[in-house]
Amino acid sequence: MRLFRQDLHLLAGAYALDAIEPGSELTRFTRHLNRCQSCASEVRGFREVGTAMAFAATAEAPAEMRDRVLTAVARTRQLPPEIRTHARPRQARARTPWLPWLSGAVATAAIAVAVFFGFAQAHTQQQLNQAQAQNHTLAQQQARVEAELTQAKEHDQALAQILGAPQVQLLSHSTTKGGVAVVVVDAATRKLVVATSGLPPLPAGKVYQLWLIGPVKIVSAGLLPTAQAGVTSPVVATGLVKGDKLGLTVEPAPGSKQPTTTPILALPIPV
Amino acid sequence: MEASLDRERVRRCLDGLTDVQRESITLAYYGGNSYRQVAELLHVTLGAIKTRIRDGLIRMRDCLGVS
Repeated sequence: MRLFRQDLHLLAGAYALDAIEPGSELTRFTRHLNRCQSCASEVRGFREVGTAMAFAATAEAPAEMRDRVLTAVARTRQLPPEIRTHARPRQARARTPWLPWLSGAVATAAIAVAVFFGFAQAHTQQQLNQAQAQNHTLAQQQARVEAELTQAKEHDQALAQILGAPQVQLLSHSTTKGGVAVVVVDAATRKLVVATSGLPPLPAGKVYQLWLIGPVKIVSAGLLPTAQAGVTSPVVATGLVKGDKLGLTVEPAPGSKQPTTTPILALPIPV
Repeated sequence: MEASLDRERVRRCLDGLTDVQRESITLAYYGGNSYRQVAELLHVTLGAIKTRIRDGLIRMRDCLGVS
């Protein structure tokens, strides 16, 4: 029994990276997490590591690296088509790996590039799977990847401005329902960026909404996008005022004018 | 956790991993592979991969000062 538990504990890393296949092992570990305080806190720490890596590299993806990856995509062997009626995030990520062709020697560089792709990756992967299922040519697949990258890049420009600012602060806090919100604050321009990881999925018709909860008023800071592989892509909020807290609530779609439920996060923002 | 956002630091921390740790984490997280698939790709046992991923993350966590 003791051995069995130790063995389960070893899975904390793979679990935090969403790298356990759905099935009895995942169920067993999830159940174990509820009972094992130290495992749960270890998983939280690991998730923060992942998010920190993502944030650190989002703003930079040198053009030549991107080209190298695209070339590698073109060289990669085709995998058999995979047809699904329901796109499950973990499953979408679990197939056709992005970077197996990169050896350990360039792994660090690969991570920088991969992280840049990270937020758009699950979606891109799904498109690639679909393209393969439809027997599209490699060139067409590559064009799709290109389009995704351009999109990600445009989105990243607002982010890059904030992430590249000289005096930013990185805060992270878990919500009362699990999962972590990571916040980058640029006090100088009174902006912040929010991304989350591991929030519980919501039923249809519900959304996560961000708020700037100030001493005088509460202002909506936008909705969290739908999570891809457990991670929501970064949202930029502007107009921070002194004393603001960042709040997160569950609201009926398409969002509310004022919060209607108890915040699952209320994080003081230093400005 | 509160830390300065320092890309160099993240990179230094990644450099501080062993090659096999870095490779396993890359394949699992960014490559979208399950740890089982990573084990197959690298021709090592499941136990070894579990350990590498966890040890690598522990090292990253300590290096980044994540609480």
